[in-house]
Amino acid sequence: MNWYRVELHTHTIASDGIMEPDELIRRAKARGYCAIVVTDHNTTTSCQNAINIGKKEGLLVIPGIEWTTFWGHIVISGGKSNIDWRSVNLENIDDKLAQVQKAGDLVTIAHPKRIGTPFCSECRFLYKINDYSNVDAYEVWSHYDPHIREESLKAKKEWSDIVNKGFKIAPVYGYDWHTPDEDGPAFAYTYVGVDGELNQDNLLQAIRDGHTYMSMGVEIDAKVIQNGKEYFLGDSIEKGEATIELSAQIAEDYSKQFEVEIRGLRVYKDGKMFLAKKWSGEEIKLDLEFNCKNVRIELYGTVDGQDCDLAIMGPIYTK
Amino acid sequence: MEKITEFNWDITNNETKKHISGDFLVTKPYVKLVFECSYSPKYLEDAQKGLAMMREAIVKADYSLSDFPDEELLKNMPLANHIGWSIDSPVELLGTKHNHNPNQRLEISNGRSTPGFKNTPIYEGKWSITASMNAVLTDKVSIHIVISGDEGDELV
Repeated sequence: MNWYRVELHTHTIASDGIMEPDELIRRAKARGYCAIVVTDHNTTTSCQNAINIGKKEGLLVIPGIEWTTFWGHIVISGGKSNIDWRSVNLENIDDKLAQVQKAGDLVTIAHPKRIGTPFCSECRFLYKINDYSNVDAYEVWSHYDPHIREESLKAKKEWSDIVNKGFKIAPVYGYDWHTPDEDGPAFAYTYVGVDGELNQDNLLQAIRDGHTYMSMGVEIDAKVIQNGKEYFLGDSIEKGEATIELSAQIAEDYSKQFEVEIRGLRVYKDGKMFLAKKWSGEEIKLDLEFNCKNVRIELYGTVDGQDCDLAIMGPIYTK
Repeated sequence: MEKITEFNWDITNNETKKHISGDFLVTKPYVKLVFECSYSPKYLEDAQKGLAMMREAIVKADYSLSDFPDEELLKNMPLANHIGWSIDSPVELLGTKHNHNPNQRLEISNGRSTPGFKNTPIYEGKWSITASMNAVLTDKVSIHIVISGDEGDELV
């Protein structure tokens, strides 16, 4: 499995972004993304142009759309479903999301805990999802300074509660990229662990499988060893003993913009903190009893001197 | 360019979160349709009303008002109305313009539609434009839409 830096939530001039597709692609390359999803509000008309430019520039571009409905925003990635966003409402949301998944697209809840109107029209997620198997990913972090936003803490709690009910939902960061933002506020990355070649199908499947983590510029290698077999973030293992092996380093390009220090890690079992450990800089090996539904790990530390979460990893589930 | 029709809708803030559509017939072989869409006012200028709305939203979203002092909230003034525009041809939804500019000139043609809308021939038949009331914060909003058709050559 290889880990790829991606951005799953971007906008162009087709909606309220200010970048033409070629500028978005150029800046995405400069930021070191291996893939992006173009997710304009309620339109897909920039996607094909962006895909074509991406092919020339060596960047995987996946078509998408951000349903910008009256009760919240939902990022649909893959370009296979064709549902009129205006038909989505509080009563039919589960059916609509199920249709999206059936068509082969990925469903991500966008910036669920923003305050919303009147600050940002309908940005708060007000839908009541009855069946979270209709959701693949959740923007636990979004937009600028996600490491210090209160909405990130609220989103993390909700996502964790959903996961603890037994749903596999990948944690992702959505930059919600509208403007060039050179030398702008701090941002995070989503990393996706992909089996095989990096292409649209494999990338979206990897997110469905929960092979994600998001971080403030920290690159992580994490795996779980059980009975001699390797597993990765998002995988399901047998209940019982297993060893987590984890190493992390600050991405060189990120450290040129922001000063990041890893101070430690926290291990959660079913959402409850089970272990906290200081960071030594060495690879960490943790022998754990997986006697719960899921185990997940966070790194904490500082960005430009501010205490914060540095990375949130997709849970490892038990069968 | 030939005017096909126009719509004037007066909306109240009770109609936020609603779609309002206007149908019209295309009966000539146009090469381009032009939609001049506008709404007014764009902004809620009343600071006290704006403050009350912001405070209500903060509390509803389960944030603490003490983290949002009035002087910080007032930096968000004036609050803005937001209306989006969708266009349907007789065949399909062509796209949506979700943009914060209250004056939009939207063009539909087979080769040069405004970003946000698919290129398409201008089919004869029933078309529609939909105004989506994403946020109506002022008591009233006036929407004005003029639709014209162009029979001339299109530059591709």
